[in-house]
Amino acid sequence: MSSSTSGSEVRRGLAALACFFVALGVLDRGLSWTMLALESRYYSGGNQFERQLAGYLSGRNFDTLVLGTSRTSEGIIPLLLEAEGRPRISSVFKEAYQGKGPRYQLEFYRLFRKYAGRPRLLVYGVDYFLYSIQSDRRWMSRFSSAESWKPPAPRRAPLLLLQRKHQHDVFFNDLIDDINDRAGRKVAPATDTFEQSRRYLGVPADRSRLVIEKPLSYKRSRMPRPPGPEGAAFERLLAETGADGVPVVLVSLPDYVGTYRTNVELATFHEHLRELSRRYPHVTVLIYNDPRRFDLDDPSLFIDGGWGRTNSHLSTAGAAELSRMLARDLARLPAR
Amino acid sequence: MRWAPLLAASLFFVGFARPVDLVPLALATAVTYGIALRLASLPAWSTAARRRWLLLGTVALVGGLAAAKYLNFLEEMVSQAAALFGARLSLQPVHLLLPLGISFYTFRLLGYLLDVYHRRVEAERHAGYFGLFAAFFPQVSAGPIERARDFLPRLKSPERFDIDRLASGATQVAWGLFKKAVIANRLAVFVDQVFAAPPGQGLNLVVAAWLYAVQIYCDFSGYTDIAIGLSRLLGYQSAPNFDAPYASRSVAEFWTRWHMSLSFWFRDYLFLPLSYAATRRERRDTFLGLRVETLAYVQATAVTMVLCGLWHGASWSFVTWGALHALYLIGGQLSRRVRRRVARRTGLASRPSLHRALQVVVTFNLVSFAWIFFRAPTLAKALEYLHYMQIKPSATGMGHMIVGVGLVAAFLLAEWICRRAAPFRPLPLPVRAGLLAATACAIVLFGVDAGNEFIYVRF
Repeated sequence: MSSSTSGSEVRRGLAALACFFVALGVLDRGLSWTMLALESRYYSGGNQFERQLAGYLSGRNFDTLVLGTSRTSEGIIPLLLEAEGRPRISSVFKEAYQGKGPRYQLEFYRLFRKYAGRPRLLVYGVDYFLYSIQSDRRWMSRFSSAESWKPPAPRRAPLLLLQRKHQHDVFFNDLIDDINDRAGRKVAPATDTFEQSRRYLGVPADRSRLVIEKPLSYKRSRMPRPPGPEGAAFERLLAETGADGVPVVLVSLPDYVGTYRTNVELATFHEHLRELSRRYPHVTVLIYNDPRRFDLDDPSLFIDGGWGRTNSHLSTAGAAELSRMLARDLARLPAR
Repeated sequence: MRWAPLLAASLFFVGFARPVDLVPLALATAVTYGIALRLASLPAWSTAARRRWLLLGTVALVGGLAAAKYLNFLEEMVSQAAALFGARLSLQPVHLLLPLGISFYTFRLLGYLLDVYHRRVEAERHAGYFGLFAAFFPQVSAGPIERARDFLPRLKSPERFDIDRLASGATQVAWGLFKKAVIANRLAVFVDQVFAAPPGQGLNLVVAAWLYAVQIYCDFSGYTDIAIGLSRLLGYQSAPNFDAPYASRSVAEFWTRWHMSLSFWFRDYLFLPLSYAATRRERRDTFLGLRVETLAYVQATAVTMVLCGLWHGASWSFVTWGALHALYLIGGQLSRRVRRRVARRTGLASRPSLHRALQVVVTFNLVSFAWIFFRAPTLAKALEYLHYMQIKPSATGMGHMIVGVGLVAAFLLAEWICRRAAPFRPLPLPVRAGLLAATACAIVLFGVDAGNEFIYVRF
């Protein structure tokens, strides 16, 4: 190959590289800006929620508020609490679902207090992984507070798309979850959702989703340490309920035995909850995640979980049993 | 001396995650190198001696693969056989991690040995080039399974520096990454969810089987594109491994378009010799009412496809997958005349486009059905999957399914455009650079980092 030919090849190569980097920079900025605009539009469209909540609460008198994540959503049945908890408990509002962490629950409590007044009792289903939870942006966008759904600061990376990769992935997953909900007709006017949540009885046990046999090796889970991403919001919730004079009951829901053994620092977690109740006199702790209190071995009481899994949910039967026990224990608590 | 840094890079690639993986590769390469030279030194008339050396080499290579891959499966078969006679054997499972690429380089080396034995290729004397042939890093972990007579000469005379070749290689790497990260990994979210819990999924099970067919194609062809693109960047042409397999009109055609390097390997080194041996053995023209050629085809196909299934994995589900394809091929061959008659009588033969479309749809469904056994972790799980299949929509996972189907439609359109646009290539270099940048952005934005390794690297 002659030097002039190789020289022209090198020049072509350099020109192509330059085109590549220019195009990369332009596309990176353009796509990043487009994604931010789309996300802003998607997440800021959720503030009908406050109006719908206000409409639903108007004329209804809920004395007990139940908050938590999916474990609480599956594990506590409001209708059973009402049936078995009289006269202490007459009407229960449950706001619990996957992705509704302490930040979400703090904002929700404030809205509830604004439109329904202070509840006479707040039951909070606490999870072993409480201090690693991050509330879904989709849920946080329900609150009109400007900062409530903004994503955390992006990490450093050569491309903006790389910097915000996690944020964009969360957005795509939220979109897909939305489609899932709409296709499954789970999304309805908020009043129906609130009422559905009240009447929800859980799902039947599913042995196929349980890891029943102890494997040769499994990954053990340590307790995430406070404060974590939303620990400050959790403490804030405890402080505000204390200032409002609202008694709070922290409930440690049962796990299937494999999960119970996988979460090796449960004793530490429960001690931490007791420490919270010492610091906040209005807080009581009820621990059902204990083989002496609940039959953690019975697969018919759970829908998932097991060895190597850090998370498990109660079945309809399990939730019924827990709700009855909880109602009896709540009834015995001294009135404040 | 170009082989030296490439060989070093290849050995580094193989040994990076687990240095011990270098041992079986080095042993297999050394044994094959030595035996090939021995075979080449023996005169053509010393048939018995040559056969003994070939047998030694084959046993060493296949034995090494069997030991690494099939020990536990053999133990399971022995236990099951013993149970049939009422004996209980509790054998300790041997936890061996499969060395990277062992299935691929074993076949590459075995093919080379057989070619040397049959004098189709000269034994390679240069240890460096031979080592590079065995361990070439773009291809070592999941193919293509190159033939020595094609690839060794290319290794010795790489292409000259050419910007267009570099651009084309980079584009192919980017397209391969796109197929894997954006399409295969996204489809895997829905497919994994459905396969993990079949009860109550209804129609999702049917859709997931179709989407898995696309997932495994994008995953494996994506890997191949990366391997071929990287080879091009280094100045080496690689054999293609896929040719629009789901456009096949029959399962027989599918196997000329899917994982071509493996299927041609099995055809040339197993199927054809078995068929030939069977026809030579049987002196009559017919046997049990069937032509001897047909019987030979049936036997050779059954053995080849079952072994092909076993090559992919040591479990009954892979054996079933291979056996299913054997059934398809044999059934297709035996029913050829009947199908032609039906096509003529129904008028399909006079509507070639409709006929072709029907053939493609039927073939795709047959192959997708077989993929269920390939994907399921065990045979029992595959049967459970089939048990829960029904044409009843399920509300769960709709979002992932809609996204998956949309993605597949977009992907098929893109592939169709690329094939149709071939006469208009090549585009100006700056335009190709821009398209490459767009692909890179799409990979970053839409890529799913699900932690899924390439499917065929597991084999």
